[in-house]
Amino acid sequence: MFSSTVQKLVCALIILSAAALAHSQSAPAKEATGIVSGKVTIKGKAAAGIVILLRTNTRNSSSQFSSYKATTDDNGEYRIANVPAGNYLIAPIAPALVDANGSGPPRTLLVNKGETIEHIDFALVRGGVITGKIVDADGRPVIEQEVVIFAVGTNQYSSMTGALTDDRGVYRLYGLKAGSYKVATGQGERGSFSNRPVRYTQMYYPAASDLDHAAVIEVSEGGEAANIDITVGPGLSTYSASGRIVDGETGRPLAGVAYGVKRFISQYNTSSMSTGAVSNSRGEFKLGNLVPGKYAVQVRSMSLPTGRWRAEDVPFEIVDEDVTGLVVQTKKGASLSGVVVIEGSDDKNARNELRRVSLLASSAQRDGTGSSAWSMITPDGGFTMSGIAAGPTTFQLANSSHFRIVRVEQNGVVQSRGVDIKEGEEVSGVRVVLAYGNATIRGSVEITNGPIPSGARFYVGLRNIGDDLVSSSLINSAVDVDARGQFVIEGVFPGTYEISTTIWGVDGRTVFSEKKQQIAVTAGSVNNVTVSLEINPKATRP
Amino acid sequence: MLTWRTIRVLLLVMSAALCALAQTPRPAVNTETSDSPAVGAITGKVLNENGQPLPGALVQVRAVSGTGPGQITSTNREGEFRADGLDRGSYVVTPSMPAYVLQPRDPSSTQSLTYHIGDSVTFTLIKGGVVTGTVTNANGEPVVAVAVRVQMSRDANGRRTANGFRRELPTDDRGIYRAYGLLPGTYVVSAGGPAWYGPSEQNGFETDVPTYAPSSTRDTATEISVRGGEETAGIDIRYRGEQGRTISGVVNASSSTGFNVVLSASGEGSVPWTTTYYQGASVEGFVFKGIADGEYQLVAMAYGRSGSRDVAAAVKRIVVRGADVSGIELNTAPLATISGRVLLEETKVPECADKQRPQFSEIIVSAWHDDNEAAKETPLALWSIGAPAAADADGNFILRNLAAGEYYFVTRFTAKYWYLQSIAFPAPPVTAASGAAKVASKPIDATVAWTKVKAGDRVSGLTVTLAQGAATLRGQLVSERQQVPEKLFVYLVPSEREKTEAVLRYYAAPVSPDGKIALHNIAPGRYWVVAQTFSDDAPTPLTKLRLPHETATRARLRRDAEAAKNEIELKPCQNVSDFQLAFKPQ
Repeated sequence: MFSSTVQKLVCALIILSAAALAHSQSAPAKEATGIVSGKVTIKGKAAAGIVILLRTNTRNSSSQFSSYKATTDDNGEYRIANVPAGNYLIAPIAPALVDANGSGPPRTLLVNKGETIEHIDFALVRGGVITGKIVDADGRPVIEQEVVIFAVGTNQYSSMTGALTDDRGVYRLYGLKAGSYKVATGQGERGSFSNRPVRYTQMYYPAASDLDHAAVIEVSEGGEAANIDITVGPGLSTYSASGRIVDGETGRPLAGVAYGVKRFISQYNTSSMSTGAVSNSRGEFKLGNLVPGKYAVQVRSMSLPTGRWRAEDVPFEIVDEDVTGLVVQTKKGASLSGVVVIEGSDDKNARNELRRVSLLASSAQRDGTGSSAWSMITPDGGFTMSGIAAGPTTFQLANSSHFRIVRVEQNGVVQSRGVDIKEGEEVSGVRVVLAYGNATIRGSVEITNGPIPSGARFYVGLRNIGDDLVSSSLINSAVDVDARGQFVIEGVFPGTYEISTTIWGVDGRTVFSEKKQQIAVTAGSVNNVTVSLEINPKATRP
Repeated sequence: MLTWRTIRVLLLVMSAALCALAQTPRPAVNTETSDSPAVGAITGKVLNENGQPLPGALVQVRAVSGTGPGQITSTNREGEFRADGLDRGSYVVTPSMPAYVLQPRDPSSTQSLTYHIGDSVTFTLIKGGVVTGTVTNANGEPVVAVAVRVQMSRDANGRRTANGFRRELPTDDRGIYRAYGLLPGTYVVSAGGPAWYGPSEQNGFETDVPTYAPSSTRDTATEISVRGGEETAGIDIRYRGEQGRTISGVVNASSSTGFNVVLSASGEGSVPWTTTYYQGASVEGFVFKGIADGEYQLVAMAYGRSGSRDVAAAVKRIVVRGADVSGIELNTAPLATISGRVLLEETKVPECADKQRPQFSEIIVSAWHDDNEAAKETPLALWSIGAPAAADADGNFILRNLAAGEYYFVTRFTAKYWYLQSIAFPAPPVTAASGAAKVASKPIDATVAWTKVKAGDRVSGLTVTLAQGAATLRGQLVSERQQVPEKLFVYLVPSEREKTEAVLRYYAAPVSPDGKIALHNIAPGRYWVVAQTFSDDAPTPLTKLRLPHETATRARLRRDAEAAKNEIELKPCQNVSDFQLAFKPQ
C-alpha cells in the first residue's frame, strides 16, 4: 500500500530473485461438487448485492488460489454452486462494512464431496471513516504521505492501518470498527527505509509529537470523522554514507558488487534494504537519504566476483553529517557441502517436492554478526554453499511446508548445536536429515449441552508429545474450526500429538470450553477424530 | 513496412534507442585526455511548469547497459541533483515526483535521451492530469475497493500507444476513484479484471471481465482526453461484474529461474490491454482469470540461470469465445543474438589531429526490427526485451534477446569529430541470403538491406565503423517569410554520384523556430542542402530516411535537393558556422 517508485523497483528485484512459494498438488479429479449458501445482513436487514468469495486455503500447482463467488439477492441470500471438496476461506467482499460481532472474516469452511452447506451467514454493520488533509508548514498539500491510525486500548502496532494522501493531500480510511482512534503521520521510530526525498518527524493529530498527547477520535458505527487534518513538522535532515569495497587480500577495488544497508532499530530489530545498486569501477559505493541512526553496509556474498568470498557488515552511525571513507573488505568464506536425505519415507512426491526446496545455512557469532548462504538441492540430494562466516552454523528450509529438519550430522555425528565452522574452512560430508509430513488429521467438534455462544471462535492446537522423529518444539500448529465444527490439519509429520480444542469468546479472553486428547499419526495417514465438548461459560483466562 | 508503433515500444522500453540515429547536437565539452578520470558525475536541475526549481524530486540515473535500478538521488532546495561516482557509459536519467509527470517530448525533437558523465541536464516536470469518477453497481450502489485502471491509448500527439502510461488505484467506500499524475494524452478507464501484474486474488473483482467507462467492453471503451494539470471529473463506471474466462497452461523451459507469461489483446485498433503473470522456478503452470472474449497473444519469457541475461521465449495466439481455454503448452526456445564490434578509423588529416576519440563505453548499438506483416505475429512484449547494447572496453557488443525478424542497426556516440562510416557484416554473409553468398568478396552492407534473423540464431561479426574527420554545419535559414513553418527540417543529400545509395550519408535535423540550422557528425564530402517540411507519421525524418527499404524516399529527396541547387563541400573536421540557406516555401 505504501509504495514509491523505488520500493517498486526493490519489489521487482525481490520477485525476480525469489523462488515462488508453491506446493505441488495433482489436478483434482472430476467429482461431485458442493453448494454453499447463506444470508448477509446489515444491522439485521437483508443486504443485497454483496459479493461472497469462497477461496481455497492453499495454492494449487500453478501457485494460485481457486475462488468461487456469488452475489446476494434482494433477500440478502447467496448461493455458491459447483464447489469442489476442499478447505476454504469464506468472506463477504465488503471492505466498507465490518462484522457485527467484532470478529473479522474470513472464516474457514471445509466442504466435503457433493455437500450442501447452508446458513453460512454474515451479520455486518457499516464501518466508520476517518478523513482529513495533510499539509506542510506553508499550507501546501503533502502528496503520497503515509497516514496511520491506531485503535486506542490495543497494541499500538498490531492495530495500525494506514493510507496515502492523494494529490490534494487528502486521505480517507474506511471500514473502521466503531471505537477510539489516534492518527499520525511522518517517520516514526520504527520507520524503516524510505526513498522519499522529503520526510517529516512523526506528528499525531492534532499537533502532538507523541502518542500520549494525541487527540482521541471517536468513530461511531457508519460515522465519519472528517477534517482530521495534520500540519507536518519540519522535514528531517538526511545524510549519505560512502566508501569502498575492496579485496581483503590485495586491496584492489571490487566493481559491480551489489550492496545494501541495514538499520538497527532496536537491539533485536533490524531492517535491511538493497536497491540493487552496485559499486563502480573504483569499488565505490554510496548510500543516500539516511536519517540519523545506526546502520551497517551490507554486501551480498553472492554478488562477489569469486565464489567463496564474503564480507562482513561494516557498521556506522549517522549523527549530523555525511559519513565517508567506509571500507568493506572481503575475505575468504567457509564452504559447506553435503546431502539432504528424507528419513522414513521413499515417497515419490517427497522427492519431487524436494526439488523446490532450498536449504539455508546461517552462522552466528557472539557479537550478533553472522552470515547466511543458501543452496538449491540437486536431484540426488546434494547441496553446496560458500561465503559463510565462522561460527556455529544452523540450517533452515525455504519454500517448504511438508519438510522439517530432524537433525544434522557431520561424519556420522549428530550436531545438535549446529555445525561448527572455522574461518575459511571447507566443510564437506554434512548430512541434513528431513522428515516428510504428509499425514492429515480431520476432525469434528460436537457441543453436548446446547448452542454455540454467539461470535465464539474455535481453535484446534496440535503439539507433538512423543519423541518419535521430530523435536516437539518444532511441531505446534493451530487451525480454525469452521462454522459447522469441522477442521483439517494437513502436512502432519509422523508422531504422537496432543490435540487441544478451545472455544474462545469474541473478546479473546473468555474460554467457554477446552479439551485435550492424544493421537498417534503415521506417515501419509488420514486420521479422523471427534471432539465432544461441554460449554462452561464461566471459565475465563486472564 | 515498419510502423511507428514498434518504434514507440522501443522508445518506451529503452528510451536510449530513439536518438541513436539523430546524432544529437552536443557541445564539445568532453575535452578529456587519456588520463581523465574513469568516474564522474551527471548533474542537473528539475524545474516545474513555471520554470521554478522543484525540490524533493527523485532522480534515477541508470546505465543503459546496466541491470538494476542504478543510482537514485533527489533534488535539493534549489532543484539541483548530482549523481556522482558514475563509471563512463551511457545513462538514462529519469526524474519523478508524486503527481508530476515529465513534460512530453516534441515528437520531432532530437534532444538526447541518454547522458554521460560531465553532462548537466535540465528537466521540466509538469503537474499531471487527473481523472476522477464513481464506480457503482446495477443498483446504483458504490463498488468499494475495486481496482480502477487508467490506461493511455493515445499520446499527447494523438499517436496510438500499445504499451503506454498507466495507473491503477482502488475505489474508496463511496466508490470514488481519483487517478492523478497522468501524462497528457487520451485514456481508457476500466474497473475490475485481472491485475497488470497478476495473479492476485484479494477481493474477487480480478476474475471479472473489466468494465470500461461508461459501462462497456474493451471494444467500445470511451476515450477520455487528459491535459496536464487539469482535472477530468465525472468519469463514472456502471460496473457489470461479468465473470471472465480463464486461460491456462504450462511453460516448458529447461534450467529456468522463472518465467513471465504476458497476455495482450491483439488485433489492429484494439484498446491496449495486457496482463503479466510471473512465476518462479519449479512451477510450470500459469493461469489468467477474468478474460473477456476476444483475440489475444500469449508470450512466455523464461529467464536463464542467475547471471545470464538470455531469455527463451514462446508465442501463441489465443482466441477466447465463450469458454475457458486450458491445456496450452508453451515450449520456449532461445532468442537470437547478434554480436559484433565497433572499429575506430583515424585519419591523418592535420586538421583532425588531437581530436578526442569516442569512448567505447559511451557507444550504444541497437537493433530495430522491420514491422512487416510477419512481425505482427510477434507480440510487442517480445520485441521490447531486446535492449540496446553498450560496447565494452574493447569495443565488443552483444545484442541479446532478439525475436525472429528483420533488423537494421542504429548507433549512438558522442565524439564531435567522428562520424558513422559503415555498418556491415563480413563476407561471406552470415545471414544466409541465398544466391548472394556466391559473390562473397565484399562485406555485406547492413544499412541497405534488412538483416534477417531466425529464432535462436547466433549471428556474429557485425562491424560498426566510426571514422574520424566529421564536419559540423551551422547556419541560418534565409527566407522572405517571417515565420519558419512548423516541422521544417534541413537535409543533407550526398551529391557525389557514387554515394547515391550511401544511406549513412543522408542527414536531417529540425530547423529551430528562429531559423537556426545545426547538423553534426557529418562525413566529409559534397552535399546538396535542402529544407523541407515533414508531415510523415515517422518519429523523425532521419529515421525514415535511413530505413533500408526507403530507397524511393531517398531518391525523391535527392531530386528535390538537386533542384534546389544548394551544394556544399565539407572538409574533414571542418566547422562551418555561417552557412546561409535560402528557403522558398512551396
